Amino acid sequence: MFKKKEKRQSIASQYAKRTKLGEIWYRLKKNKGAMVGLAIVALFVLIAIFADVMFDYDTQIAGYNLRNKLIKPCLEHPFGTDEMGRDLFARLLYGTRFSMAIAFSSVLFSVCVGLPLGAMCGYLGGKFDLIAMRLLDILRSIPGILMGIVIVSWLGQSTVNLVIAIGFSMIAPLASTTRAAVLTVRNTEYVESARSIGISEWRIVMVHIIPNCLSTILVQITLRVANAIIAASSLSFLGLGVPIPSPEWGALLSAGRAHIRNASYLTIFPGMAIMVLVLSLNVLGDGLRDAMDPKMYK
Amino acid sequence: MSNEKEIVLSIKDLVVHYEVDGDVIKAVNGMTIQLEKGRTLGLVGETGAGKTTTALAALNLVPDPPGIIKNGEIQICGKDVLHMSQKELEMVRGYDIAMIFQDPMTSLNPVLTVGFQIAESIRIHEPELNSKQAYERALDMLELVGIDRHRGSEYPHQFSGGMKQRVVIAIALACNPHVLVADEPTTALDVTIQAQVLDMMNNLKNKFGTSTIIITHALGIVADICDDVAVMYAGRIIEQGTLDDVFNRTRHPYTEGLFNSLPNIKDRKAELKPIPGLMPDPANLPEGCAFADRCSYATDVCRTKQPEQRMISGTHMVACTAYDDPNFMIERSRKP
Repeated sequence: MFKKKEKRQSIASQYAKRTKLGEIWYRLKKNKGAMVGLAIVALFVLIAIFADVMFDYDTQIAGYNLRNKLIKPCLEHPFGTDEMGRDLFARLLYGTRFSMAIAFSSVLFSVCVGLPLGAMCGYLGGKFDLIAMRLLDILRSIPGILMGIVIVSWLGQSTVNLVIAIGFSMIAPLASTTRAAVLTVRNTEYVESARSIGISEWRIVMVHIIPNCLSTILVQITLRVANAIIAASSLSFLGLGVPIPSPEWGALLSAGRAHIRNASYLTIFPGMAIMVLVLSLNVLGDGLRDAMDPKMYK
Repeated sequence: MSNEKEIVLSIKDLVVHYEVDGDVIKAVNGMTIQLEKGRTLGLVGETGAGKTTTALAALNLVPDPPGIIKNGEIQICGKDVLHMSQKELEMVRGYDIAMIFQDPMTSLNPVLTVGFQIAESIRIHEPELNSKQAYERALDMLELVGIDRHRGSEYPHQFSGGMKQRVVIAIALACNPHVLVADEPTTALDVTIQAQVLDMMNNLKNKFGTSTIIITHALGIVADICDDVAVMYAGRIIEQGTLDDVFNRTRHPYTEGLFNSLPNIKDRKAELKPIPGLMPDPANLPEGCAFADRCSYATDVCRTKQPEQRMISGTHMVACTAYDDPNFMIERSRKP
């Protein structure tokens, strides 16, 4: 009985007017996996924002107390303590701030460069496209992590340089994804018909082409955020990430490596944190793509 | 054509080539056509005859590369379309001349609502309206083509094919253009919807006084709604005249062939007589008449000499060398 009513309501609500964002939200809400992903990502974002409210950086995060070193997980220290006697739980939560900030700003950096570049290549075509894409091919032929190492060791070790290094290595894949998406939309009949009613080229790109590529690009972006977290962790693991004693997740992993036999929790928990966030971002990206595709609307 | 009639679209000696990998594909080879105000011209011909290229050229929309407008002059209401800046072109497209594309399934943007897409044209060409007024006008247009106005906020995939074509027509007519070019507007639709859409186009045309070019290969549609007919073959017009001229006083062997390939409802046992062969490769057109190889009346002269256009009556033009002989008649006109 209740179910039937619910069904009728949902049919009725399909005909109800929703704004575009409302429609996307409505579709996203139906996707349970994506909602779980969204919840976890939101939780991490909140932790990242309020990390300094919860913990005092100087005493709890960076300050050491050798008397407490290598305590196994217990009530007082849920994730145990490291070789300097610092609480891993606190460091992990505080580390969210570093990992997330690095991931989002490096993706932002690569989007700012890669998206317009790819869109221009796809839309203009011709010589510009040829030259730009070959240059990007050269960039892409260098493994991302190697390029990151080169850039960090060239510019010096700092958080900003880490962002530049990671962002730079992501420009090429982002640009070529955008280009491919624009290329498929550029020659469609609706772009031609937009031209036939006198819409300017600029408006065609902004209103007709980019929104049609958005779902592809958005998924690419969420995947890139996940990749950036891994890249940042890898570079930190190699000792090229954020300077010590900042508790970036990769740096935590790297520090725990020495004790992997006697205190494996030092590597397990940071590793899990990376995995959970990356997985959530992937699932969320997938759900967003489905939600943003108007062809899926009923 | 007499001078007192107002010519809204005039195409003169249009030559359009596509250059692909060293090959030159001669899509349109010297075509001249005029459209009078308020009339409907049917542009008939088989696939690859250059109909769509002509239509695109009228809006200066021939994709470049590979398309190049080699020669010709196109005027819409006295404005020279081929020598305009991009900005002027944008003002003419959609306002003076609009186009309806062949496939309604693909000519609407899937991520924008139909109301937005109709309003977009109005907003561009009538900047004095604010976006709300433009949207209201768009909904009015939607009603005009027989779709409920509350469906303006829906996306193209929520409409059936026939309704999508109505939306496309609403976009084209949104700014009340002088000339409407409809490129096979009903080819992608089934027969009952075809009739509805044609009917609606006819009504709107009469209401707004829009001059229309309908590109089609269906002679039935031509007979239904056109005032004038031009038959195209290999990028040229081979016969042109009023509907009556072309249908009842057919002169060109190719036009005759077109009629012979239609089933005759009065004589159901009669075999169809398709035109043998295929249209010549537009990259490699023969020196003489392009139709000569498929024409049962062809003589040696046809293969070497390009036929001239001759006027048979005040309105009827045919391009066929055989009429050099004053006694020549095609079979269709011999019948009582």
